[in-house]
Amino acid sequence: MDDIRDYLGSVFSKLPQTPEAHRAKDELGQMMEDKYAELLAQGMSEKDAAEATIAEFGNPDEVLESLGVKPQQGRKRHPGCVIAAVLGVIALCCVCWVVFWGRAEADPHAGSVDATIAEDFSSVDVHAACADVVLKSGDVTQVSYSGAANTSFEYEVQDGVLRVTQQQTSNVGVQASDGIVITVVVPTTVELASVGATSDLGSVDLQGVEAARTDVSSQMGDVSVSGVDLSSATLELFVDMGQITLDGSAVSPGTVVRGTGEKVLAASAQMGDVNVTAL
Amino acid sequence: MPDEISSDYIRGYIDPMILCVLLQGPSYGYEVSKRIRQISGGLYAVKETTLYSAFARLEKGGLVESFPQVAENGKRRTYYRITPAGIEHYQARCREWQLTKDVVGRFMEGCGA
Repeated sequence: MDDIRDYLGSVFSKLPQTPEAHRAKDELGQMMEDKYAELLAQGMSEKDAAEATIAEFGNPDEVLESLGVKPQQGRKRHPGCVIAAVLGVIALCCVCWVVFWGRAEADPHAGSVDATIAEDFSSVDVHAACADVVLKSGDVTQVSYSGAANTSFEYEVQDGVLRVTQQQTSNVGVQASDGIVITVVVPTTVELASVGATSDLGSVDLQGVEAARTDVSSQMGDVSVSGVDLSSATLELFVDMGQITLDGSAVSPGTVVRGTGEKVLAASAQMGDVNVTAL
Repeated sequence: MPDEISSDYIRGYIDPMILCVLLQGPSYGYEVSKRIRQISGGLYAVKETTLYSAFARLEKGGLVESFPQVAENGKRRTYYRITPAGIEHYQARCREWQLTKDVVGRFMEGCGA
């Protein structure tokens, strides 16, 4: 084990003591220790395990490049450049802080939302980062959201489009879509040119909302469409990893044309399944 | 036994390999390297330096994010998880690969056949 530490120490001794270099050393150390421990567990002697771990470590120059340091230039750097770089990093941190803090403060819908929309619209566009999306028909237009930390939620009607957007506002904390739901209710009396709903991590569920063109997709979750008249529709159904079910039977990815095919329904899921049940 | 794969060639695909592993859940350095060896059927073993520089690059690009976690044995480790941008990047690389395979295959698998 000491051999490994000595080796890493000598690799990093040539480098300026930056936080990046410290982290690289720490993580490479973690990987080497794990490998060393596994080789020992397989019955190798301490000496052989250390030698094998060091031999398979790779080329140190690769790591130096990722730290933005060319080995032969590492020591020649002018102190002015280092100070400028440090000041640059501090300035960048300030900007990030202001941006994230400002966004969190300005976000009017961070908590739970249950709103009725009065404006007219002819299209619906929902984009969720990490929420399940439900679109259904009802009496009045409503948008509701069970809030979550580290996400922003916004809705507006602009140029005839009801836009609903949920985004992650910081890189820490909530990432799963568990229990976070965006529900959009659209009255059956509203004639819709297009409906789009997509979720990166959650599912998308469209129930009885009719539009000339419907696009529903999810990267990680399932996509389901039900209660929609598809007697004259072009169905574009795609999955990468999951399965497609159309009216209860499994079908292959591709395009299905029914009747005149004038209505368009595009449903796709990268990791999950697509389920379509016509009215 | 097939001829050895040129490591320079395969290194160009280390990013999608890592993202593929992380799609199955957050993981840490050595576990990712083990999964890559396993999935490749033992034909490719990634070097620590290659893996770390890829992690640093992916994190800088916002495709993965790291977080510290203490494992069952009490050891502190840096875990990585894929971000939505990482998922998108992975899918784009998969589409690019299909196209590459198709085009290059026309020249490598029976020319003009």
